[in-house]
Amino acid sequence: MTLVRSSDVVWDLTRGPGMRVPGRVFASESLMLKVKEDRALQQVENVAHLQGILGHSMAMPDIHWGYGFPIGGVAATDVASDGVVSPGGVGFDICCGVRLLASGFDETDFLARRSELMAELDRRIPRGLGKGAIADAGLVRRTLTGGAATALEAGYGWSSDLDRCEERGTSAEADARAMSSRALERGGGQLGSLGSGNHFLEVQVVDEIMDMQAATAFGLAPGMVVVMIHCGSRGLGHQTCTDQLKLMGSAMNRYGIEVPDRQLACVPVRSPEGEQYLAAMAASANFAWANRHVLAHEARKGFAAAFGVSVERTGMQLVYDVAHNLAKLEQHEVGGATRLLCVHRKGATRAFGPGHPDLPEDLRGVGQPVLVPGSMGTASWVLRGVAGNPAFASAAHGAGRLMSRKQAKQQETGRRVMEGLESEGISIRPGSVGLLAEEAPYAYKDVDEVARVCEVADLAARVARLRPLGVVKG
Amino acid sequence: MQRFEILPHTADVAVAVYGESVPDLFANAASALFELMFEMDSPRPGPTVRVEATGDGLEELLVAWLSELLAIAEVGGVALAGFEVTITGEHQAVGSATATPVEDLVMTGTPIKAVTYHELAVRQAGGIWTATIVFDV
Repeated sequence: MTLVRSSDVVWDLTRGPGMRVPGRVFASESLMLKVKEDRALQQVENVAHLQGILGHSMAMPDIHWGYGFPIGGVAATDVASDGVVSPGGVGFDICCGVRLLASGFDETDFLARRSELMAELDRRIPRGLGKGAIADAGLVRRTLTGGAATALEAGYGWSSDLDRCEERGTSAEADARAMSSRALERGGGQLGSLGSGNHFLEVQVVDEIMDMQAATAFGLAPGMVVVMIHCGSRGLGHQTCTDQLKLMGSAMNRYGIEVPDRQLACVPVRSPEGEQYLAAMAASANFAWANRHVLAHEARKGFAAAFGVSVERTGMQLVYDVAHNLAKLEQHEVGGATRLLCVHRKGATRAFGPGHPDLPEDLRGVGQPVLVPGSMGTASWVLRGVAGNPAFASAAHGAGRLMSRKQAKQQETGRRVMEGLESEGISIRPGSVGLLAEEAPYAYKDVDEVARVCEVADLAARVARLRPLGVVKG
Repeated sequence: MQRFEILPHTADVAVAVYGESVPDLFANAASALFELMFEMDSPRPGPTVRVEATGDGLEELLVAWLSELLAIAEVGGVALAGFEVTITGEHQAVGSATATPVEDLVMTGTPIKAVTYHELAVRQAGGIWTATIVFDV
């Protein structure tokens, strides 16, 4: 494997034995320095072995070492040429993603009601292990086919939410029969819960706008308080991936497929096992969209209670909801011809450019909102999809980890991390104070640099920078 | 003998687990799974749960065993300890453990979501069984 710098922000991995295509990483020199320290590049190379992969095995600027695919990995396989689908290219947290809500409040409003608002959110947002959920367990099974629309029918959220959600929050490809009873059991008490790890609900303020036209179309304005939610399909998705990986491991032999890492187990998209995985993945995605939908509405209720207004008067319209752990069947132009591809995005965000027919009509002129969260103490970014994206319409999904959890805990205690953030004016309501150190801002890369590289590499263009005010941490 | 140690990994949690036999290795891997998340020094004795897992070969069986424990723990809102394991061939693990409600325990690490196959290896050398496992957190 040889790494060659092709431009300021593009690095190519030459084809080695077994690689069907070369690798390509979008990164600046400073971001690449860290990438070289762990095994993320080896994982880019491993993904290049997948049957039917086209173009390059790619990685976004927030690439880091994961399992199977690197985090930030993008791979598109040609469905018509026995291209494969790999659950390892989606990950355990199926349809993990980010949702951003606008509001009718500004930073002065927030500061005036900070303690009341953070107390409301702390009380209302379930997170951590075994801490319950907002929605009734009886709703879970119906969300598998109905997604966010089911949660809407049950009284959560607004109908306009669906217009601003990828796939309108419901994948029609879902089949609940492809799920195990154990997956349903695990998801049973988790609809409307954040989970843990790097998941959060964050109150932020629009700190800087680079593209006013796009920001206005998205519903953002300078100084506006916004709410960002990062979570996924919880135990239901984790179990589905576990089940499907086991099935695929044995099925793979029947198709004569070999992979350099068992976590990359895969089968042709057009095979019974491939179709079963995509149906189960879609059902888990529907649960994840419903989960973020329910949490978002609870956040509205928290704002309404803290500011003494009705939920409708909070102005908390959905800006957008994006998934960053999915495999999707999409049409893309390759070599002058339009082909049906299975695009795996493992810690990467779909980023459709202006004019794409899958975008809501009011966003078609500017492109899809791409949400890139930072860490608790640093900025987050709103980008927009651009024409000519070189990565099958994909962009970064976050800052990307810089430091292992063990290293992070050795640097500071959770209490010290919390005190540091509070001294910077960022209110923290953690699920566990002790675990905060694992997610400390210093454990992540420079998100501003990730956003800049996205723009220079034509993955997505910067629209707005968001600054954290308060964090409810999983 | 050290039962397990944490290995470097940027985002997730990797461990090397040791055992004097395959059942010992499986029991120690199970202990590692919960000790990475909770202070398990003196868990309150709780009800016994029975666990069964199947897999094709020791590596797949180890993933199936740990995945089953994780699912049982999540559904029951408990952490498990005191593992007794019997391995039949290289395809079935049957065991028992005691369950403690997570509310009664102190969390020491980010909850583990799943058990991966990435860099998974089970091997024997010098009479010691070793497994390397990466957990998704």
